[in-house]
Amino acid sequence: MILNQWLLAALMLLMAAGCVIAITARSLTSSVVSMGTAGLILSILFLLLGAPDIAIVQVFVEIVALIVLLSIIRRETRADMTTSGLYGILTLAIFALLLMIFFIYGNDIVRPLGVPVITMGGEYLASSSRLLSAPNAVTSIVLDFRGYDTLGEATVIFVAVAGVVVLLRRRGRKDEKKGDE
Amino acid sequence: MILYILIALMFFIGLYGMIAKKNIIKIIIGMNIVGYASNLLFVLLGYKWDGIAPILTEDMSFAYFLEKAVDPLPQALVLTSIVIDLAFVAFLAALAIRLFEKYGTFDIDKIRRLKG
Amino acid sequence: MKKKGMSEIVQSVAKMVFPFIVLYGISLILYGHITPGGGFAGGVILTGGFVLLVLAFGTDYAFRILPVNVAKALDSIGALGFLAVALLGFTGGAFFYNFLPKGHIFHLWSSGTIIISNIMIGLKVVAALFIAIAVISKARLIRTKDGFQYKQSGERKR
Repeated sequence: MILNQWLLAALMLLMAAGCVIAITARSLTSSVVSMGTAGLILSILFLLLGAPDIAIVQVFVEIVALIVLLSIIRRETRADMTTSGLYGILTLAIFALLLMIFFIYGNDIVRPLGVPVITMGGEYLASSSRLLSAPNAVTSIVLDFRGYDTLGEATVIFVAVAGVVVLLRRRGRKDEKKGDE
Repeated sequence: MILYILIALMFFIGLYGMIAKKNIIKIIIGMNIVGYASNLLFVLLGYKWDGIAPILTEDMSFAYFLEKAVDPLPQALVLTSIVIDLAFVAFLAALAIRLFEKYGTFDIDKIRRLKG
Repeated sequence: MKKKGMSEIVQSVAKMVFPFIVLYGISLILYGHITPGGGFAGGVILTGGFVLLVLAFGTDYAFRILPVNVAKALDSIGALGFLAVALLGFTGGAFFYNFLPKGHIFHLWSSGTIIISNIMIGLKVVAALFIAIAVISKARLIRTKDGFQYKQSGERKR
C-alpha cells in the first residue's frame, strides 16, 4: 500500500505550517486564506484515511467558511499584533500539563496507527447492509442508528441561524444613539 | 506516535490563537483550527491499515468488506461536527459584525477599554 | 449603471454553472445511502451554489431565486419533517424505528426511512446556511450605505 505513516506525517506538517501562518500572519486576509489551505489539506487527509463522505463535506464547508470570513473583513483592517506574552506562556504551561497527563494515562487508549481503538465498527458495518440494506454505513449510522445525534445537530443549526438573524436585524432594535453610552 | 504529536501541535496552535491573540478574526480562526485537530484525531482513531471506505460496492464480497472497511462510527460523529462548525462560524461572524458596528474595531482590548 | 455584483463574464459563467451545481447536489442527496454523499454533503454543495449567486449578482437576485420566506419555510419543513419521521417510528414501537419496507440493496428506493431523512436534512442545511450567509452579506451592504458613516469615512482617509 502506498499510504504509509510518513506520507500522512508530511501532509500533516504542511497543514500545521498553514495553521502557524494563519495565526501569526500580519494581514487578516492572508491569515484567513492560510486557514483555508489547512482545511483543504485536511480534506485530502480524510480522503486518504478512507472517509470520502467527510472529504466532500470538508471541501465545501471550507469554501463557504472562507467566504463568510472574507466577507466580514474590510480591506483596511490589519491585525493588531498586541499579543500578550503572559497569556502565551500560560497557554504553553497548561498545554504541557495536559500533554503530560495524556502521556501518563493515555497509554492504553491510544494504540499505534492502524489498530483501531473502537471495536464497535464491525457490528455497524454488518447490520447496515443486512438489516437496512444501505451500502453506505456512514449514512445509515447518521440517520438511523444514531438519529438522536442528527436531531440535536439540526437543533443547533436552527438556533445558530436564528442567532444570526436576531443579531443582524434592522427593525425592532433599540435606538442606538441614546440607548447606550 | 508522530501523527498524534503533530495533531497535538495543531491543537496547541489553535489554542494559542484563541487565548493570546487580541483580534476577533484571529480568535475565530483559532477556534476553527482546534476543530480541525479534533476532527482529524477522531478519524485517525478509526483507521485500519490498508483500510477501504465503509461503503459496500456491488463487486465486493461481504467478508472482504467486513475485514477491510474502516470504522464508520467516528466518521459519522465528525460529519455532524463539521456542519455544526460552519453554523458556528457564521454565528461568530455575525457577532463580529455587530461588535464592529458598535465600536469600530476588532481589537478586544480597545472594546474592553471603551466599555469600562 | 444599475447593475450590481461582479463583471459580465463572471455573471454569465455563474448563470451557466449554477444548474449543474444544483443537479450535483440533488444527486448527492438522493443517492446518499448508496454512494458517498448524503444530506449534509448535498446540502452544503447546494449552499455553495447559492453563495455563488450571492457573490456574482448580489443578494437581491439570490432572494429572487429563493425568496427568504420560502427559505424560512424550507428550514422549518426540514426540521419538522425529520422530527416527524422520528416520531412515526412509534408505529413500529420506538423512536427512530425504521418502519418502511427495506427493499433490495443497491436500489434507489431501499433502506426505508433513510432516503426521506436525507431529503429533509438536505433541505434544512441548505435553507439555514443560505439564510445565514445572505443575512451576513446583506448586513455589510447596509452598513456601508446608511449608518455608521463616521467610522467608515475615518478609515477611508487613511
